[in-house]
Amino acid sequence: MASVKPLSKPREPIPPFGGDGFSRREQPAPAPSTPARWGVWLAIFAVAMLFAGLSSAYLVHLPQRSRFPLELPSILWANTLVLILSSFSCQWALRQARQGRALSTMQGLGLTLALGVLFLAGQVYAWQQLRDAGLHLQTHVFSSFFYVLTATHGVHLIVGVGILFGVWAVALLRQGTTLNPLAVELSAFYWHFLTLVWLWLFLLLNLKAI
Amino acid sequence: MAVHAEHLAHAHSESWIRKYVFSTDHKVIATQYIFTAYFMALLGGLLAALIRYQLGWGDQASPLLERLFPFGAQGGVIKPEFYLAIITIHGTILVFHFQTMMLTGGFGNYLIPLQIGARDMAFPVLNMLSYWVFLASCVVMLLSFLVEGGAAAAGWTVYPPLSVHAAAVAGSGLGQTIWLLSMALLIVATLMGGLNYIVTTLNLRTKGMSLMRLPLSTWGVFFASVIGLVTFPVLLAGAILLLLDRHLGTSFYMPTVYIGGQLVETRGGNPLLWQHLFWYLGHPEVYILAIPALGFIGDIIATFSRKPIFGYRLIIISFVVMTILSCIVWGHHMFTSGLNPYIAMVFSLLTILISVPFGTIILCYAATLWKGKIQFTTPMLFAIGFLSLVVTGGLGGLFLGTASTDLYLHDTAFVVGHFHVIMASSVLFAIFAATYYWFPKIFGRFMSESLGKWHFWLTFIGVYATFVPMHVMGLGGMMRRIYSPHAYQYLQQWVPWERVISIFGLILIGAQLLFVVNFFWSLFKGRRATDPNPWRANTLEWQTSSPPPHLNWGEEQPVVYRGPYEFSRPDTAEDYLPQNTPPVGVEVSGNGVR
Ligand code: HEM
Ligand SMILES: [Cu+2]
Repeated sequence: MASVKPLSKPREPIPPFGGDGFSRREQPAPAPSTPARWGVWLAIFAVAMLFAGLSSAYLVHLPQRSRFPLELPSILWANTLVLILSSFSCQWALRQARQGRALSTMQGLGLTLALGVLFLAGQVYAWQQLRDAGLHLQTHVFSSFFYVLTATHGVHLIVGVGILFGVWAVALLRQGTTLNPLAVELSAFYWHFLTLVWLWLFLLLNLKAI
Repeated sequence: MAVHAEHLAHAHSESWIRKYVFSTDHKVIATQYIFTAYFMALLGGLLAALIRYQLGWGDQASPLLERLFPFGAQGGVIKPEFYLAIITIHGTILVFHFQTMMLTGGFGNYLIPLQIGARDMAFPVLNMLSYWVFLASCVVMLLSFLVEGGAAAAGWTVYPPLSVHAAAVAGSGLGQTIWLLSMALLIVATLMGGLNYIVTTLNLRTKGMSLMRLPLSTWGVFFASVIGLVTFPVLLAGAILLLLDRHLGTSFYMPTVYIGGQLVETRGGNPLLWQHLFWYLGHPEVYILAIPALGFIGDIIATFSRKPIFGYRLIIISFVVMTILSCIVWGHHMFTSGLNPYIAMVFSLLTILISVPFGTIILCYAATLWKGKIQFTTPMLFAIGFLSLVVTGGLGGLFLGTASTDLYLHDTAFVVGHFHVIMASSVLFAIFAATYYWFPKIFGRFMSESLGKWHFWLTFIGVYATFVPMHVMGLGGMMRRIYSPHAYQYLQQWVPWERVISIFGLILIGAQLLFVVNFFWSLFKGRRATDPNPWRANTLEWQTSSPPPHLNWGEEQPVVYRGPYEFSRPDTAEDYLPQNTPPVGVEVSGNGVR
C-alpha cells in the first residue's frame, strides 16, 4: 500500500458558498420553513415563465396591431384599481399576522378576498362588453389574445382566492389561536405576484404597436 | 432526530400498497420511474425497428407486418400516415418519456437525497404525484395509437400548420390533441419533480455538505431542473395556444393556406411563432439531458480512474454557463425559416460558444482519465463510450451551428445523424452506465459483467455504424422524415446505404435484448452486493446499506468532512476516502477539490 507521507502543512479548508457547513450554522437541518418558501418561490417562477411565453407570443404579433381593431373596455381600469387595493389589504393582513393579531389578519384577508372576487366579476363584465361589441375569441388574433391572457390570469387568480380562503378558513376554525404567519406570507406573495402579472398584461394590451 | 426514529419504527407497519405503490419514499418512486421509463424505451426501440424496416425495405411487402398491424400496414406495406405517426411517437417518447424522466425522475430522484445525506425529498407527496402524473402522460400518449386517425403525425416538433389543421394529415385529428394533452401532463410532472430536486438540494443537505462538496450527479440534475423550470412553462404556453387553434377556432399559428386544394381562411396567425416557442424549450431540453448525463459520467469516471475529478470547479462553472447559454440559442433550429441574417449570426455565434463549456467538461474528464488506474468495468466502458460519442456528435454540431452550412444541411439526414449520436446515443450510454453502476445500490445485486461487456461492444459499434453514415447521406441530399427514399429518382444511390444502415440499426436494437435479459436475470439471480460500497466510491449513497433502508440512514444522518472525489491520496493507505470520513491526523477538513 501507499506509504504514509505526512503533509508539510495542514490543508486549509476552501470556503465555498455558504461555508463548509460547520462554521455558519450548527443545526444539521435548516429551519423547517425554508423548503416551503423555496418551493413557493419556484412555483411562482414557473408560472411567471408561462406568462412570459404568452407575452412573447403577443409581442411578436404586435406590429400588426393596427390592422385589427380592439377597444379595451374601460372597466378594466377600475378592475386594475381594485386589484391594486387588494394587494394593499393583503400586505396589511400580513403585517397583522406577523404581529400576531389574528383578528385583524382575518379582516384583512377577508377584505382581500372580497376585492379579488370583485376583480374577477369585473373581468367577466369586460368579457361581456367585448362580446356585445362583436369581438369573440375567434374574431382575430388580438381578440384571441385578450381572452387568453385574461383567462389565464383569471384562472391563477381563482387559485389565489382558493388559497387565501383556505388560510382564512383555517384561521377561522382555530378561532385565531394558531395563526401561521408563514402561510399568510406565502399566499400574500402569490397574490402580489398576480397583481404584478395583471399590471404587465394590462400594459401589453394597451400597447398599440412597438 | 426523535421524530425520525419514530418514523423508522413506523415504516415497517405500512401496508404493501402504501409501501410499493403509493409510496412517498424517493427510492420507491425512483424505481417506479426507472421501470416506466425503460418500458417506454422498449416501445420507442420497437418503433425505431419499424422505421428502419420501412427505410430499408419499404418497397417490398411483408406478410408479417400485415399480420402485426392490420390497419397500419395493409397489404404488408406501412402506410404513409402510419409511418409519420411512428416517427412522431418514437421521437416524443424517447426524448421526453424515456431520457428526460430516466435521468431526473429516475436516477436524479434516487440519488439526490442519498448523495446529500438527506432522508427524503423536501416534498415527498409532490414527488409521488409527479410520478403518477408522468404515468398518466405515458398511458395517454400510447392510447393515441388507438383513436381514429391514429397517433400524432407532425413529428416530435409538431410544427403548424400540419399540427393545427385536422385535414392536413390523419394524425392531426384526435391523435394530435392527445399528444398535446400528454405533453401537458408531462410538463406538469417535470415541473413538480424539478421544483422538488432544486429545493431538496438547496435545503436538505446534511451537516458539512457544502455546495462545493456535492457530487457532480446531484449538480447535473440540479441544473437540469433549473433549465426545466425556465423553459417547460413556455412550451406549456405554446401548447395551450395550439390547443385553442385546433379546437376553439383561434388562429395564433394558422396563416391563410390551401390545404388539399381548400382555402383555409385565418385571421393573422403566424406559424413561426410555434417554432420559437417550441425551440425555446426544445433546445434547452437537450441540455436537460446532457447536463445530468455529464454529471453521472463524472462520478463514474472518477471512481473507476481512482483519481479526483480534474477541475471540479471548472466543471460546475461550465454547467452554469451551459445552463444560461442553452436558453438563448434556440434560433439555430430556424436558420432556414427566414430569420433575419443578423439575428441568425448572433444565434450562430452563441451556438458555437456553447461548445466551449461543453468541450471544457470533456477535457476535464479526459484529464481525469489521464494516468488514472483505470478499471474497465461495464459502467466505465459506457462512460468512455459516452465521451467518444459526444466528441463525434459535437463535430457534426459545428457544421450545423454555422448558419451558412446549415442552410444546406437543415432537414437532411445529417441532422438526424447529429442528434442521434450526440443526444440519443450518448445519453443512452449515460443511462446504461448509471444503471450498471447503481444497480447494486438500488437492487442489492450486481448485473452480469460479461453480458454487460457484450452489450457495450455491440451497442458501441451499432451506434457508430448506424448514425455516422447518416451524416454522409445528409451531405448527399437525403431528406429527413421522408416516407420512402425508394420513390425518388435522385435518391436511388442512397437506397443501398439505407439498407446497410437498417441492418446495423436492427442489430443495435437487437443487442438491447442482452440488456433486458441481464437486467431481469440480475434482479432475481444476480450476485449479491453484500459490500455496500463495492466500487470503493466516496459519495454518500455508497456509505449506507444496499438497498438503503427506509429513510436512508440509521439513527443518525451522516456528517460530511470532505469532497466527493478524494481518491488516491498519497498520505493514506486506502486509495479512497468516503465523504463521511472524519479528518485524520493533521488534516484540516478540505474539499478534495484540486
Ligand atoms: C457542439 C455543440 C452543438 C452544436 C453546435 C449543435 C448544433 C445544432 C444545430 C445547429 C441543430 C439544428 C440543425 C437543423 O435542424 O438544421 C442541431 C440539432 C439538434 N441537436 Fe445539436 N448541437 C450541439 C450539441 C447538441 C447536444 C449536446 C445535443 C443533445 C444532448 C444536441 C441535440 C440536438 C437535437 C435533438 C437536434 C435536432 C432537433 C430536430 O430538428 O429534430 N445537440 N444541433
Ligand atoms: Cu439546439
